[in-house]
Amino acid sequence: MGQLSVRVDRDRCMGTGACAFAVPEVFAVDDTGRAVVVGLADDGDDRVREAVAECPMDALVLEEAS
Amino acid sequence: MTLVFDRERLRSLFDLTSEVYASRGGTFDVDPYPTFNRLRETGPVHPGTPHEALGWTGEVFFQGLPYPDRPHFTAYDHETCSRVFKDDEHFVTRVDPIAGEQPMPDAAILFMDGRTHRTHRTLVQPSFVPARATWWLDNFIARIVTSLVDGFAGEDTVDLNIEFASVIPLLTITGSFGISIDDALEVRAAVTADSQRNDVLLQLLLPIIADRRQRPADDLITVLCQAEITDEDGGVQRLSDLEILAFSFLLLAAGSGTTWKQMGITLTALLGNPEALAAARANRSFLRNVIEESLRWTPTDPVFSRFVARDCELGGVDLPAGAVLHICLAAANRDPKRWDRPDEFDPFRPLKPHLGFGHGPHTCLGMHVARAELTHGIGTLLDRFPDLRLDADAPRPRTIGLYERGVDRVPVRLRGSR
Repeated sequence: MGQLSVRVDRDRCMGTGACAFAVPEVFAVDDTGRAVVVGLADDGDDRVREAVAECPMDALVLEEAS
Repeated sequence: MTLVFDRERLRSLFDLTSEVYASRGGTFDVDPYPTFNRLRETGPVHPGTPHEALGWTGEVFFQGLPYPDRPHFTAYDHETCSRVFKDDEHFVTRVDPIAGEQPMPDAAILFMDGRTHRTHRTLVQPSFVPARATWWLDNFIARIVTSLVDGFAGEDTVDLNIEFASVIPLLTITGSFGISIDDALEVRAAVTADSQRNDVLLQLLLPIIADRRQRPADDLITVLCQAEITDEDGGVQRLSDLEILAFSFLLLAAGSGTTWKQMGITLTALLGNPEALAAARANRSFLRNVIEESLRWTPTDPVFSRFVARDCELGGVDLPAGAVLHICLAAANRDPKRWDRPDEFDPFRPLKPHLGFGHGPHTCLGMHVARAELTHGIGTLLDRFPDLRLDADAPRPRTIGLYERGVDRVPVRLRGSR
């Protein structure tokens, strides 16, 4: 199974933690109050795609698989 | 330590049918969802307010209300509500920019937009992120929950809405501000008074602010005292006492009421659903599903509002600049396009994000603290009382309230045979 490449747009992110609540293995919020990617995201994991789609600030970006 | 409060005083502060909640339609006792569903089915956006649609003729004061001179509209489906929450260019939280001195509660992040909102919210966000849930649990929630349960553990029956659900959020947020337990009920009385009792809060908070500026402590007032704002010219500023007070008012008011009502709703739904209760007893992690489903099914705050910043079209309806747009997230949370059998409380359905905590830049700041309170509170009840059940001899809980929804009681039996 491949990996999803997901990136946080830190200018948009406000650190609501919606992603970290949904998929704590992949997302966390750091001390500055912004999301960071902390784990690998399986491309079969619908929760990650959903977290990207449901980000309150549209601050998560799925990048094309390399 | 056990915590035992004056029950009558608690009842007077945490009774949705009392005068305290009259201006938010506290006594409204009709199921609003059939009306919400009917409206959603005929279009995403309708003219008028939610309470007019529900036939409520009493006076209402709430975010975006009353403003009788402005046209009002309401969005009822998930897609539109979600979009409005996120679009803070067209839909703003205040009509006029903050100019000069504002009444204190109005100078809070709830009424800021764009960059100003981001700058201010960022100051407190790190205290409310998921990883901080353990700080809230270890310092406040766990001790409060244990003390409350110890206080009524010897009884046969208890009203969990009053003696449990109401106290946990109040003492958690007041504790995080360094406010004593003795003063906590005064805070609640002050933030719910229609003319918010600023004087009471000033007297309580100003000495704490002065103290923390000298002697930092591990609490939110210290966070606010130490916060630095970088302005557009690159200058660094600290928050004034007034700005800290504005923040405090909002956090104390929001933190001490919403989770109470959601916990009552959640307990009632869980105790009324034997399969869900058995699943939660067998596996505490199932409480996550129970709580998220409760927030979807009956969110305590069913509506938030925005002002229309400039003429636009939404869901086929033309909205003029200056109009008030009500976001009926309660209706959006039962949109059949997103959830099967949306009117059913079914914690076994797949988890899917809901709008119970709002969306966009104003997404509930305290949502992870609320989740920790709900999870730990309900989990502890299940741990301590294996026979916990609704008291069949007491009146059944009723879900009431218009713009703030909750149950009127959660009478339970703590022990004995079924």
